Amino acid sequence: MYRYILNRILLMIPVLLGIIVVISSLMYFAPGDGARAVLGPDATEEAVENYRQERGLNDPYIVQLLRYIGNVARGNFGDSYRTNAPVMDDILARFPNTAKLAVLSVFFGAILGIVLGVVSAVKQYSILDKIASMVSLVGIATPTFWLALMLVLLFSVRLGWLPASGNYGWKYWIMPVFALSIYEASFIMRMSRSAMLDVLRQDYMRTARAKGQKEFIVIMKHGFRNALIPIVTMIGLEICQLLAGAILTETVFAIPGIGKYCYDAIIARDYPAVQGAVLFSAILCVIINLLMDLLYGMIDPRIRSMYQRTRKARVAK
Amino acid sequence: MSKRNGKAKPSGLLAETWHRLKRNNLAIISLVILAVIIILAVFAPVFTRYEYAKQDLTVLLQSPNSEHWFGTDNFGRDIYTRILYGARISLMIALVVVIMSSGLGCIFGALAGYFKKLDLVIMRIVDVLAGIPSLLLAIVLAASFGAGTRNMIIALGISYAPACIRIVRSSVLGIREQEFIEAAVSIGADNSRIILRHILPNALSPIIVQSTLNIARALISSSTLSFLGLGVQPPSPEWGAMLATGRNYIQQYPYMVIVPGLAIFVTTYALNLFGDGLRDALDPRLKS
Amino acid sequence: MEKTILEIKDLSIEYRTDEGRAKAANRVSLSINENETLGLVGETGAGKTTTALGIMCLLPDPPGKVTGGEIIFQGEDLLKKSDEQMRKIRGKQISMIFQDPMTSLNPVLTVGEQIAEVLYLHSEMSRDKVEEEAKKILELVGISRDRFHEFPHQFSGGMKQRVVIAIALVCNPALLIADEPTTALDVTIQFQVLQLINDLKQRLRTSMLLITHDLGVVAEVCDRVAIIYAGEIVEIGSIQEIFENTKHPYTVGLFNSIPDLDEERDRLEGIDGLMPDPTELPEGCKFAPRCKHCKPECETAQSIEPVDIAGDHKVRCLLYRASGEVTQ
Repeated sequence: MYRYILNRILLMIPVLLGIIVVISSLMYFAPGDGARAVLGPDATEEAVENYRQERGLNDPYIVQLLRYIGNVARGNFGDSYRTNAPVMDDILARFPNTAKLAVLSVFFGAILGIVLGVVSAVKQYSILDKIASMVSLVGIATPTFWLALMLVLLFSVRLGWLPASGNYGWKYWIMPVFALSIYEASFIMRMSRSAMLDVLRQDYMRTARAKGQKEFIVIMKHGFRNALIPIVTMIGLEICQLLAGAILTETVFAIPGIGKYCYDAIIARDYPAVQGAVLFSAILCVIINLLMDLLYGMIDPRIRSMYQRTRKARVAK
Repeated sequence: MSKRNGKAKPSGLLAETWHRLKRNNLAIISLVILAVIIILAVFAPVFTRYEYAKQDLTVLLQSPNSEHWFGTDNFGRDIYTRILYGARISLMIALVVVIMSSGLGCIFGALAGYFKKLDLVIMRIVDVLAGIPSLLLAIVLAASFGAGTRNMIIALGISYAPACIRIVRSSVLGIREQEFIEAAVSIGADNSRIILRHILPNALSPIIVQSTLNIARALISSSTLSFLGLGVQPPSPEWGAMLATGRNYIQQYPYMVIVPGLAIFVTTYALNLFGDGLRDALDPRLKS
Repeated sequence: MEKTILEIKDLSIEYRTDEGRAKAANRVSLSINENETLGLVGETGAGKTTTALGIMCLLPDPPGKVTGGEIIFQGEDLLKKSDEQMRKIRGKQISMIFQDPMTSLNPVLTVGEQIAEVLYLHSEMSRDKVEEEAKKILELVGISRDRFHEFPHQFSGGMKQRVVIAIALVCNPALLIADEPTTALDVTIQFQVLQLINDLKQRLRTSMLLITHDLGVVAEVCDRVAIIYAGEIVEIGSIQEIFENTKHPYTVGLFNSIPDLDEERDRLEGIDGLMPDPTELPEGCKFAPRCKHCKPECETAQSIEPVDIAGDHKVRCLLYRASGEVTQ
């Protein structure tokens, strides 16, 4: 099992490096002068040049890249142009909000989605299946930010029941989580249904019935257990998507998360902040994928034993 | 062709697919809706007498009425007109993005699936690109090279590419093992011929379905980015951008927010419905 | 007189699809006695698996449906039983093993668990006892009992099939239905597995319905054999009778298409044409379009009743009247 973990971690590193390189390179080659952006159009040429020297902005591309990578490895994402404080601090302060949003939304979405998806698959072609399919299609076709605006329109503007923006209590979270959950539930429901349908077609379902097993147990123990593998993978991917996609919901509902931070930074041309936020999210995604892989290994014995067998082979000798 | 009940059964992949598609009521309805949207978009000037960018300060912020079916916005522009022209923009962007990503998908997916040595290199790059969520990539590009339609299209095209490459690669890997490929090799067909004439035609089904669904995704993504100000710039009547503007007037003029969103919703819904129908028609085995 | 354990009378099964109604089984009648192995021989698509699934009441519904007939097992009509009653029978009184061992086992459960499942379902044994029984049967099929906790992917195709056999026989069923159990295996393994099935069947005194398209297998293992074509039983009888006194033109064709060790030939003799599409079955005798001896009345006859030849040898062919006379 440890072999498997190690293997996955090792594979993760080049991908992480690649992401850092891609993102920093993009920002590096961006037209415009970072130093001037910070100091403003009134600063003297000398001041700008000093600034550039201090921060090593005149060094060749490779040197800057390596330096940046080194910094990132130590948790230093640079300083924000706006606050001159480490970007990392800003991110860490906001991360819990984004995480809360993502986890809650996927959680509720998954419960509803998996249950509906499995039931739809088992009762394929029934009225329930058709309705669920229609409704889930509505769910994924509705742009989340529009749904968010509609919710604000209804519950804040017209009815005044819920607060429109901010982060001062659990009430402020109802609409954002709801808006995101709708999409999540719909998406997860469709994927679960599809995964379940695949599994229900398999021969081992027939074997289980030929044993005289009760239908419910056949579906759960033989069917769902196998469908769980792709479903879990997909949930991990969704959490990743949300970490990035929450930028919208956070913006609409003014929740101080990483997404909103990123957005504000773009408007303000605070490049280190943008770079840091994007990098942070990307790295988080890679880590989550890693965790999913590990989970995968735990659920699917085929993957688990791929790495155990080598151990046994050595013991046998 | 085989005869059944006096009617000739269609043969050939395209014909069979169309035949199955025809029987799916939902798919046909969605196709009709899409056709209507496309016609409205392409022939927009025919359906409206206003111009989308012309400001008329005498009719600011009107609710829907007989002169302006969807009302007017904060510059007095007719919203109905802007929705029509917005359809052009949104659909065109989505199409370009999908052509780009699916094109890249076919090329690199086929190469990766067919040539083992290229596979390693290509898939590593794909892994890196896939690790960056599409929205973030677009944001970075927007932040670096400036906001705008062109950058947005490039960003989205690149970020959708990894999934397409993976799909095509997976299909190619599966088909490559089949015996008719061995047969083609044994009669002396060279690599490019094998890829183009034997492998790709059979690998197309999954990528076609994915492309249809990607058009819907691209639509939403571009709306999202425009909403954030990172995509299409004013005065272009892109639906997402219209939502951004409308947001400021949500209290008193909600129609400014309701209408563009509805447009996005209907188009996306029809696209997804059609994509589902297409999937069922292309491979009925997957249905049950 | 041997006791009849299974008797199928006029079983008809249909599949309702978008393309039309496929008549997969048309008035199939056969019987199996205690301790006996009946072979069911036919081409792919002839209706063998459909009949087997029909007996187990495992037809996928939709689209499959039994449209007529009776399946009398140990004196009772299975088609009249409730779901719950059938569940008690499946795995315990009638078991089935399927064609493809690679996909017949659940990949996320250990083989031990999957064998134990049958025991838990049909007996009141304690956990320890169940595990012991399961390990015993593993050994019986030639797998070390230490492999109880291993997963299906850790076994080869032949071994997987042995596990499937273990699952089927662990509760000592009266009837075992084996649907082409060796078709998906290597030829060398085929022989081993067949021997195993035969051994166990004799030891446990189980009757067997062996479905196959291979007449060689039939010769090895079966006592009686039924030939099925386009969903109909066209000939049935003891091995002796069928192999040495072949009557139906289709069966004759089948035997002729097997290469003969003693004879020298340039080409194999096949049967011209293809089996009819089950959604468009021809009127009259289903084999008529391909039959060398076809007469006009063969194509128009409403239903062709089986004719007794000798003993329990029956043929469904207009060429014959009672006692094997050939009519011309």
